[in-house]
Amino acid sequence: MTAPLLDVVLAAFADVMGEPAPNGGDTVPEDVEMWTSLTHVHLVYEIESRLDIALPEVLLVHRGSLATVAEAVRAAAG
Amino acid sequence: MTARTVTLPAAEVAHFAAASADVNPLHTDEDFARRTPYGRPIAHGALVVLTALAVVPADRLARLTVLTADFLGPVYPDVPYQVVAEQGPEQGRLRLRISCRGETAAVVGLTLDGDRPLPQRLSADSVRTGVPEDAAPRVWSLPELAGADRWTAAYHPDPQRLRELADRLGGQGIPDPLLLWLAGSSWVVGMQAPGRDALFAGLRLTRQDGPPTPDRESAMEITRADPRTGAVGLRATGSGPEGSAVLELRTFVRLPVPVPTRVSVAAHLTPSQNLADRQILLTGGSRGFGAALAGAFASQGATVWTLYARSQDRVQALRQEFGANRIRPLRCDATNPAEVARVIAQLESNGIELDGVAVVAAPPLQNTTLHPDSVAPALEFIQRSLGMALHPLTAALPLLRRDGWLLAASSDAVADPPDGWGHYAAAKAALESYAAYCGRRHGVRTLLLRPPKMHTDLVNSPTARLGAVSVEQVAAAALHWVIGNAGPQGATTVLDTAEILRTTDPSRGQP
Repeated sequence: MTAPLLDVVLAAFADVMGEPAPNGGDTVPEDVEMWTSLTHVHLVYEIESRLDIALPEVLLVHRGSLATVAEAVRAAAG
Repeated sequence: MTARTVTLPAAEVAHFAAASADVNPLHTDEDFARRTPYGRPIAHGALVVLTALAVVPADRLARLTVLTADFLGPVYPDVPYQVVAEQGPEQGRLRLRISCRGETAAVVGLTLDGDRPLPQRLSADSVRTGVPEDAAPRVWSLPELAGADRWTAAYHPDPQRLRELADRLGGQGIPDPLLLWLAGSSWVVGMQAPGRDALFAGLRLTRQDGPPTPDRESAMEITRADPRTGAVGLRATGSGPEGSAVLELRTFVRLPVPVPTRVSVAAHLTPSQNLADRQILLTGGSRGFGAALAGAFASQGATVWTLYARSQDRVQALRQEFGANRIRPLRCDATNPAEVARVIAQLESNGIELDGVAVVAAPPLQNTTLHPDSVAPALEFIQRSLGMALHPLTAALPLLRRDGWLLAASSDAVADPPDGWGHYAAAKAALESYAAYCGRRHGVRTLLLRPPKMHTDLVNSPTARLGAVSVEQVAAAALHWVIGNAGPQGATTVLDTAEILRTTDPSRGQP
């Protein structure tokens, strides 16, 4: 994958959460107190905005690692 | 690092509501707040920020250029919170964390690098005051928000009242312009848009260059309105004697939870007279899943004696929808044994024999953490939750026919509690054990219903709604069990998520 996509996700994450992902693509919600269900929604919006795509609804509620988010974005982007 | 413990008295929340004119009922109305996932009134996000700012020295705050706030969880009045200030990674950055029982409720970021200090105090004659104190918050649908044009509104809060409030909370050093901008952000979200059904998720306040203006002007525009989550973004610009600022506001609008109707129930359960002349006692039947269950029983011809505590309007609407002869309200506080005994005696004196008892009522769910200070509120929740079920259940047993049944509304959270729901899962697990015991001792069939997340007021948060099943679908699964008369007397059946979805598969047909 998808390294460029992961970079986009990591950059969006840092912007929304106000701090870089501590474990890169392996960062999970338990690692970052700011990564709640609500801030996750804004993370998805930020990714949508940066890539100019609409992501599936399931991504708004599913919070895996940032690598899995990037993978889901890749799948959605086709 | 600086730390302090703060408690926001309920009276100060009321003072902020009056001073800012943000009288949104989530902060001011017990009944309204009880019907939200928060269960009771919460403090304004802007007031939480204002309180946290008290740890920052006045000379530093005066150099503010950017303030960000993320509201991660509710802040309740009269509960002690910790405010911790940490130096940010860059010079001039400060981060304030507001937490309770190990859970972060809000994070405030400050950039304090301005060359031109904010005025500490605005002179009284430079500020026009007057806010519409009795105004009601606006109510919008999401399409209306999406289509809204930029609009302006007059907003002139009194800095003196805000300053007095800040002083009482230890924030003597907060400059007047910042007080006005924070009050303004609260007023925009709580009263303008999204208004009544708003949840304030965060803000970014950017101070603008330019001289103060004699008259205040506030202009607002919607920058996002997403039907998937109810997320609403706003951009508000304000200028006045305090200077100018841009507010980027992140909010959600709580979309209305559908109320069960004959049509929505019939979509999952064909109306019939399968339960004609059956008498059923139901707790928590005025709202959410209980209302769907009441409607489902009524749709099969049963008479549903519906215990409810407060929601008289909802019960009346239910009677109107499903028939006043089918939905029979009994007002009582289910946690009060004397009140429960009174209504059960009422049934007994009318010669009512019950065919079934369904305990559905549950108190508002407020997340708890694994923290020593969370044990007391968790125990209180468990006691209240069990009391709401066990008082009616035990009182009604003498009226329950030997070929009758018990239904206990549990949750699939028993098997896999979501974060913050440990107390809820514990209460439901205890209810399951007690209900099964009651069934065995009384020799009646017992159903333990473990539904997945349902779309109710209890979970009407922006993302919890996504993927939730309808209350009518789960009610239909329960009715399949009742009508199917499955299992021997004294036996306990567990309907979990997989079984509920299987039994309500449209291809399977109706009972």
